[in-house]
Amino acid sequence: MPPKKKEDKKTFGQAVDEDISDAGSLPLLNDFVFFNLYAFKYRRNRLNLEKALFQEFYIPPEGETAELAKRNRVIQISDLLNQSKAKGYLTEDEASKIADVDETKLRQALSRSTNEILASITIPLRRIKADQERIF
Amino acid sequence: MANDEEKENAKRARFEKLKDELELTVWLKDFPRNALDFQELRRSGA
Repeated sequence: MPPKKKEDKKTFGQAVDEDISDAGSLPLLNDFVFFNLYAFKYRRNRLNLEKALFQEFYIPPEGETAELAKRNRVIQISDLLNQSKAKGYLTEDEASKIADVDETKLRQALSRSTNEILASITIPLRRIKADQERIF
Repeated sequence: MANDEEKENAKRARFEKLKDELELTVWLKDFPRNALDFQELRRSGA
């Protein structure tokens, strides 16, 4: 009986350590990365807009919507803090009580985590695009 | 009234078309951009 093949547990959007040395040769995506660029007089209006955006862009990454979810993502602060903990940019204590963390350290942790999560989302899609361009 | 609905539908159709052309859309929700945002984030405790 052949040895059981190791299951690849990598999923889209889960920041993992992977070789991205090919990133320079991959095609660019027609992507749109945005954050909140608005100011509202009333907090309620902002929350309503956020709710609508969340419904539009947060797609369950399982089942029928798994493919669509790869192309529509919402990155939340909790994702950034989890990534910061996983990579050791913040300790468990720091991540649970960020008010006490040095601001520069917090900025660096969130920036690095954002870059890593974005790379973990875009690089697989760019590889798929490169494969498709090779075929056609 | 019907005119408003038509306009809304047309707007929605344009939005959907634009979305179809995009290969990836990412929303960085609550991402702190400036000192004020960081203050709020730290105060909220995330």
